[in-house]
Amino acid sequence: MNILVCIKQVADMESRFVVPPGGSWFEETDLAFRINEYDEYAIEAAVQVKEKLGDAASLTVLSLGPQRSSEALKKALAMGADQAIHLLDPQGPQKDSLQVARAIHSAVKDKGFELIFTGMQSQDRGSAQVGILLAELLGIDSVSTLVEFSFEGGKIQGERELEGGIRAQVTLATPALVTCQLGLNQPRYPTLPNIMKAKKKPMETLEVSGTGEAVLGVKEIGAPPKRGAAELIEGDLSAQVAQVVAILKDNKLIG
Amino acid sequence: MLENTREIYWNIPASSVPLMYLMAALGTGVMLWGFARRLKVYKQGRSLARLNGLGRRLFLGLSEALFQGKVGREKGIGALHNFFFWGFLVLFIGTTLIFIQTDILEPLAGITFLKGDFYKTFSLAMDLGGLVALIMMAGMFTRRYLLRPKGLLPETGDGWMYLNLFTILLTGFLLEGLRMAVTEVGLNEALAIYSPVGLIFARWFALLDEGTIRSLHLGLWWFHLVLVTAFLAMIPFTRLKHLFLTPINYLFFDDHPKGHLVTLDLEDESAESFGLGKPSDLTWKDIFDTDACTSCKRCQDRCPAYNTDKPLSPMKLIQDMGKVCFEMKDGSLSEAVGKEAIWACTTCRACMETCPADIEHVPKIIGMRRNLALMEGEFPGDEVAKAMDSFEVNYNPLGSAPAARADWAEGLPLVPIEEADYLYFVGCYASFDARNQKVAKAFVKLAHTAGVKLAILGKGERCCGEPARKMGNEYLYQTLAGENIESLQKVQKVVTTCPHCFQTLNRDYRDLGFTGEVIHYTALAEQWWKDFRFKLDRSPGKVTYHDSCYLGRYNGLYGEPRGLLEATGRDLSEMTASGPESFCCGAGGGRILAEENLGTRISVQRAQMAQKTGAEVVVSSCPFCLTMMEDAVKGLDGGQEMVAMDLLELLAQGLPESNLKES
Amino acid sequence: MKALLIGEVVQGKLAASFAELLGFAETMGAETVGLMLGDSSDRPAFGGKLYVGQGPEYAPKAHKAAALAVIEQEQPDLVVLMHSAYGWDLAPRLALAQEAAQISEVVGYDAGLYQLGCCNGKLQRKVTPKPGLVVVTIQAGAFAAATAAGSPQEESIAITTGEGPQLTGYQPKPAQGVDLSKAEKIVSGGRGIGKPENLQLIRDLADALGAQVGASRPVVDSGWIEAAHQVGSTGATVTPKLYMACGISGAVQHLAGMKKSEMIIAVNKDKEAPIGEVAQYIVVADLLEFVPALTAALKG
Repeated sequence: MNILVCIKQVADMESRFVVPPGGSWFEETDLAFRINEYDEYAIEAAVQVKEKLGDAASLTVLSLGPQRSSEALKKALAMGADQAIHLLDPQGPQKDSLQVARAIHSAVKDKGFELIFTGMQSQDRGSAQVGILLAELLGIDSVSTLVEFSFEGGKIQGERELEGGIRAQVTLATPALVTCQLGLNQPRYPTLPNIMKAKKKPMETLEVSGTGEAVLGVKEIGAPPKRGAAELIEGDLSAQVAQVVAILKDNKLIG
Repeated sequence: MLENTREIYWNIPASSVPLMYLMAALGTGVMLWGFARRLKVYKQGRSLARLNGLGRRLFLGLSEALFQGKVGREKGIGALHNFFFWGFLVLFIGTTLIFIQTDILEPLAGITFLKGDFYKTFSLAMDLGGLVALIMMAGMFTRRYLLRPKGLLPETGDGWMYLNLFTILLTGFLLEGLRMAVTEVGLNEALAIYSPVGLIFARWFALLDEGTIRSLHLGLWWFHLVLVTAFLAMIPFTRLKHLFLTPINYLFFDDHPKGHLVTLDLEDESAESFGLGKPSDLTWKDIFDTDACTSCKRCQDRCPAYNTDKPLSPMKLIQDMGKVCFEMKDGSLSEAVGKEAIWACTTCRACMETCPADIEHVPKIIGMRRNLALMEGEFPGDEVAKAMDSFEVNYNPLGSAPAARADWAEGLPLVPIEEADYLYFVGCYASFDARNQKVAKAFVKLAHTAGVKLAILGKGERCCGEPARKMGNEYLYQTLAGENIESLQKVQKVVTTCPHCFQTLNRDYRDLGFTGEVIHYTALAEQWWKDFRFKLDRSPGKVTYHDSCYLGRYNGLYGEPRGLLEATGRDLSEMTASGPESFCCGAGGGRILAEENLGTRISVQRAQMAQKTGAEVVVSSCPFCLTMMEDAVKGLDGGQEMVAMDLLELLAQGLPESNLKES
Repeated sequence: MKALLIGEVVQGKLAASFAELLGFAETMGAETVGLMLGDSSDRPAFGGKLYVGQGPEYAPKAHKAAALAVIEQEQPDLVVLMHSAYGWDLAPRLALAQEAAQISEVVGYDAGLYQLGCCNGKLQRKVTPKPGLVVVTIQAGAFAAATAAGSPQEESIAITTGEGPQLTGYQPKPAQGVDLSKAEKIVSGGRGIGKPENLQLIRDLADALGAQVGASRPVVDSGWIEAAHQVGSTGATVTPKLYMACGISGAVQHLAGMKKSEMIIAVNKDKEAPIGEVAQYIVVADLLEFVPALTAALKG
């Protein structure tokens, strides 16, 4: 069985983001990058399926992004993927979800993937679109935001995490795509032999194509309002309490 | 005038002498057979060169064996053991002299030397040696069986050993007494007084008739002989094996600087496994160590993990490793030892510094961690795995943005690297942790006052890799180290405020080709002080100093920080566990990354020790120690109010303002 | 401008967030049409037309088909869903089928620009969609719930079930003590509380706010509260709407676990405490006085 896991390399969220004047995305200089956290769960889930199926399965990891994304692919290979596809796109971080989904679709549509994993969303953009869009483009079934996953005889059993922690149990059959929520599993730490083996695993770099036109125009990007150095609330106790109550009310944190 | 000597085989039929040697040979044979079997176990291990510079090894090893320096350091038992050993040694030398005269010199050359004044000395020495050995043995017996110190474990044959040794010594005196009753009492009283203990028995036996004495003597002689044979035979099978193994282990000491860990060749394609997973991963020396343990429990008494109810005793760990090796199968070391024990170690080195048998505990623990981390991707908890991820992505364990690494230094008087006297390697905690940033700032202030120009690597600095390495992640360590060494290429002199960075750059990086000079601030600032490069306003106050393991036990920097403390005018009140006996804060060995979920908190125990001195400030010179002490002093119930500070903060506080303006 | 608002039904109940969809429509000045799919007798309070499809609460294919039919019928300019498990599952399917622009996680709208959170709220993007139908998912709490009242004109539509992923049941939230990582409000106590008894002050304030109780590492280490309450790099990483840090100076490990909270209010005697780097407000006060006073004010 051909398994695919789609991952994204994102800036570490601890980073101090700097947007150049008039820019539509932040500068990457000095930033640390990592695998999108949600995608780590996707990789782990995919590797677990592959391990269960043994030689009958082949796991491909794919990422769309600039050169640096190959580091994320290497880590996924070290975690247990068999081969990698890098859709090289220096402008990747600024592409619309739909463009990304289209590009992945044109790269994988003829490869016969029966089971596809993606993260529920990316940490940087948080759109939660690419996975579902890819499934729709491929014309296969998909479910989102799984916190439980099992695969047995072509059938997927899963649990979707809903607001407030309730879980909806779902079943679907392959070919299918699932998007993975945090906590789905315990992503493994790659062992040294696997890190070494990963260096020799095939990584195919493809120019990105078939993205189509952008659907969103970015007019501005910058720090959200109200964030900054803490405002001091001083004075006598009752004034302080009144001020905090007002803040809570203004922010709809109390009724 | 009677000659001052004795007949060696008095009352022993000549025909018995060969039989005696046959029995001695039998005992020795069993002993050799026993050791040969152990040798097979040691040989499972991989090769390791531990005989280079043999002359130095022999000299140091022999000195240690004869003078018993390490054994003697422990109060009570140290003296008991040493005097027993020396008493026993006298008896051994005496017996050897008899052998030399009777079986070599006299039959071959007709030379006898056990006579005259030498014999008198010999006789007195033998008597006193035996007496001292007996008394010391009584002391050791009392300790083991009556006082029963906490944690002291029995070994196979302990009881038999005591009985055997006691009976040998006693029958020795009885034999002497019986002989003297016939040959010296009333005949050569002037000589008899040189065997004072024997004489007591002799006067008593003299009441018997000679025939009875002679038959008693012969019977007892045989009994004595059987006991000695049994003694020889039981050596390899009881704790007596340490008679050989401990001194031999003194020869095999690690001649690397303290704290050296083997730098793994991670690119080695032939390596099937990394770290210590099974006996065949160990070196012969590791296995020999497990056999050299005498269960003296000194390591356990000092182990911060053991003392806070964690499932680690360095002694038990070594012995459990030994058990797997002696099964002669490739069993799992980490299963035998227990993973919780492996992860509980703070690498404080108290065990290794105190071990009278020169056993190397810490490298074995790190070795087993390497196996878990590199081969299984296992760590003591999710928080540690997360920190590993942060090391990889952010180059620090805190997950802070690497671009913000030098934010603390904004506006401070630092210079470009080319102009600097020293490159200050800041380390992660001083770079990112608000509390420790104050220490880094204090250091820059002090250096500036002293007229010393500092530079930092800034965003280019990465974690030195120490916590990752100590947690077994050699791959991550080497990656970080390689990148730092690259950045430090043109740097001649490095100063650190963190003892862990200091140890790592100064020792660990050497294997990776780093050649720059590295110094810890305590040593450097003390030099500045001695060179009158800064002045201090003296302030009163009672403080205590907590020795960082990596500064003290690893690097011997005990006097420097204390000298500086004195310079601030503070009154230093030492904890009982200070200097080489310092008790870890709990954060070493990568434990700074981990939750302390088992037992009680090491840091709190340490803070309580500090509180007992009545100090207002517990001073340390390590960011990990400061972090732990900061947390721990808040949790103290009652007693003296105490705060935690780094020595640098006291120094910076004491800098007169005028001092600053001048510079 | 017409907006199709798609509500969500979970365990037979229409989610209250429908009012936020209405609030968003109000912001946009759009007339509203509603759609809810699933077996529920709940009806939102608004005056427009409401399409109701009885059937399973989650059935991606069927819901997509039903929604597309309504879109076909109504020709809206906007399709609006919550940015929720339901919304992010259905919205992309509709957007793709309609070749529409989708805008996710909208936190505001002003002068033709949609405001989107980005990088955990560290940045905000302002975007314009291409012309035509726009599918929007809105961030919970970003738009005030509409006060609109009334009863909708109901129209039943058919849901064709049977194909695709199936919902087989629900599982209650697994019980494992507290799970701070999903809490909406957290009141945390740090060393500043001084002694374990004072933790009750924190608990009382949390009760008054409907919040969970968090704690910093020293408090947990001292055994004053179970480890599940620990916030920080070694405890839970939390992203609530409100985080009140009482007597927490802000060790870096703690900050790492909570700085992504939307609103951080610190209560601390020291106005220089590092918690100020991430907090919007620092109440400079003794928490032992301030916290009970605030609790009283909230209850009163």
